[in-house]
Amino acid sequence: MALRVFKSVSQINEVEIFERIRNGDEKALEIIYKKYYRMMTKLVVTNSGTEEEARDVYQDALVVFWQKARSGNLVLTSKMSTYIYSICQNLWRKELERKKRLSNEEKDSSESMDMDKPEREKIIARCLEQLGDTCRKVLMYYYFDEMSMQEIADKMGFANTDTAKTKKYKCKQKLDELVKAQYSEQDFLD
Amino acid sequence: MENFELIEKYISGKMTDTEKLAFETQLNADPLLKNELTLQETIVSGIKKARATELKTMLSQVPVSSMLSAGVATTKIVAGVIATTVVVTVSYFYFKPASPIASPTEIKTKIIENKKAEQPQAEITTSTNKPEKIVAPSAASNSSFKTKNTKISPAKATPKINVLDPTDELTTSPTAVNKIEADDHMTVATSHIAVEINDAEKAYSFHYQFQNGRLILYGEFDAALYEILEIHGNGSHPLFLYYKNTYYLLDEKQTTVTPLSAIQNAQLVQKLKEYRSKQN
Repeated sequence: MALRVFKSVSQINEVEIFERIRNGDEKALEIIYKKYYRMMTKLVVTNSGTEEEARDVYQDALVVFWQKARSGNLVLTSKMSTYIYSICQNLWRKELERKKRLSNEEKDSSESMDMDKPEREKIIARCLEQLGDTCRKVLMYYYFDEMSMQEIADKMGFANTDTAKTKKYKCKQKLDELVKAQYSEQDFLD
Repeated sequence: MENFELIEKYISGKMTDTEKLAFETQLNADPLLKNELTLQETIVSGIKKARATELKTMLSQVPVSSMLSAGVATTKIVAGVIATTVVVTVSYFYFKPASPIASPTEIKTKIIENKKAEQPQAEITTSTNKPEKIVAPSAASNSSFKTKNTKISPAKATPKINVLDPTDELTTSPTAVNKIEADDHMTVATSHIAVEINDAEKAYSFHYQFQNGRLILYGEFDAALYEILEIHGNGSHPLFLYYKNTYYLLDEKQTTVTPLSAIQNAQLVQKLKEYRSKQN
């Protein structure tokens, strides 16, 4: 009887959920995450991955899915789970290849190449934090979620698209300044 | 200002071919513009990365049922997590597999769930951890318990991924539940066998023993769901362990640590499987 309680939540309307994701409802993404967690992580775990790697791959896959759905370019021709599953598969395959390359090449070259990329990303993340919540969200919605000015205005509670546009412009200016200041500081240290 | 808009448009990939060509010519002639573009590209990718990280952090906070325990060692008493004991009336199969179906035999099953291992179907796989070693998909999906362990030499380029049908788990679960609900013969009772997992004894990797009425399983049983099937009939009640798609006979008289060996009798395995699938 415990079984019934345990499984009854699995009937969720796929179309509705997908629509909610397309509209930028993060709660819907959480529902999907929970619903497919075992199925998706199993793929990695049964293919020489740890659960931590599995979780990471699955989360990355959902982020990809989110962005694709949000951009409006994604038309689902198969079940949502099948689609997400294939993203997981691709990501994990890539990761396995990367690992193999690493072990084959004895970790010699190639590592220093991209060393400062995470560092730069960290700087930008820090600057975004400094901008405050509104700016951070506006910029993320604009650049990552590719929301229209109308959507940003709705989501952020701005009066109209003009406000959203100005806000986005000013926030970006501020971010640029912060990043540039950080960069020159870095150069100075080197 | 004008450059700002051009750069934005270029990065977002919204330029027409002619616009793009014109802008790239301009870029080649103007190192400052090129620097600015590089910076803007970095910033935009940084914003995207930050958003992706934010989404991932959000997902990490969603409570999910974990598949494996995160390396917690030592002895664990699992008796407390026995979820349900289901008594189902099914046809007679174990004692005389060859004889025609006789009176219904009572079968008792304990579904033992490790809290951290809520996996309805154990996977056909081995415990390989090296990236080179990849488990080839077994031919007859769930029906075969022999797994092939293929070693792919480093020379071969693409790693193979063992693909599971993702729709399977979703579509089967609700129907399976309906089946259970429809079964009038089923009642739920409490089990009496306490199960203990001992993964501290490295010498016994896949063993069992009975001690003071308790079943002790040695090895890392956290990796997947295991079930103890108890069959009632003909005065005896043999116990079976189901783990990772394989069945093992548990001899209750066995008080010394004994290795678990898989049941090879195909007919019996088939019957146990039929029973399990009905039950699940």
